[in-house]
Amino acid sequence: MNNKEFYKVLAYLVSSARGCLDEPPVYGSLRMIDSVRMLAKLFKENRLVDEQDALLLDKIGYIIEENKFSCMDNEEGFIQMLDDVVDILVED
Amino acid sequence: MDSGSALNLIKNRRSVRVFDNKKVNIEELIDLIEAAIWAPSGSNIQAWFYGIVDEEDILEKIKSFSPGLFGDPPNLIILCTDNKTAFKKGGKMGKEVVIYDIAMAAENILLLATAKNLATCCVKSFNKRAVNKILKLPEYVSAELIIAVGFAQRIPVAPKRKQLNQITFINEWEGKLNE
Repeated sequence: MNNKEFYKVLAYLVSSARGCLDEPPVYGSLRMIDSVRMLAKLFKENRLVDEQDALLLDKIGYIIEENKFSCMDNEEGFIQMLDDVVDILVED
Repeated sequence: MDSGSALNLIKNRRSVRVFDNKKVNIEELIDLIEAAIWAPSGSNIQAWFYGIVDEEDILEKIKSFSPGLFGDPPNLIILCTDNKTAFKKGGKMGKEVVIYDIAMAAENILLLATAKNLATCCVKSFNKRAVNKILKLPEYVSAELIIAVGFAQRIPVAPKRKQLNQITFINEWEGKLNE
């Protein structure tokens, strides 16, 4: 496990936990789903998942990266992205 | 510059969240700060400091504690308030006014950067306590805004803006702007 990358995720999570008390409510969802993307990347890069799961994590990461900013001007699109990620995980 | 060009410059500024890893020259970054110091300042107090961050180790630390900082920008400008001067010279109002000053300075930075074909994004979502410590700021100085600066890998589509007649009134609240 790459310790530096691991601590980056921890720093992101704790900063988000603090920030979300003062930020727009939708940012809570944004930070959580972006954490999913970061964790997926970490799992893949550290070979904590097999090849098939790595492909799945890639797919999830791509969907999140492409759509996460829609929370700022297209809430419906953002919710759709969250639902899409749920569907991918539940179908796997 | 004519007024049309100025308006176009304003309209062409985007909040970029995907950057190339190419660094911006320090001279260009200093130019941006030159633009910042010509922003309006309440009572001309100028209770501000500007930090340029381009060292990888510090950049990485700041990014880690800045959930709103996306897309791996290669440079940061940190806009800080001088709370001692703001309060001493500006009184109670000074603490509030210094935030407006920083915001106006930020816009100057963003616009000059746009004119230089640099990509920027203004970020407030960072852990101030952590960033102040990483930058080793004295106790009376506080990081208030971060501007990511670099070269765009992807320029976003302009988000929708409210129409002028939705947000403008003439003389009194009921005074409508003609469509």
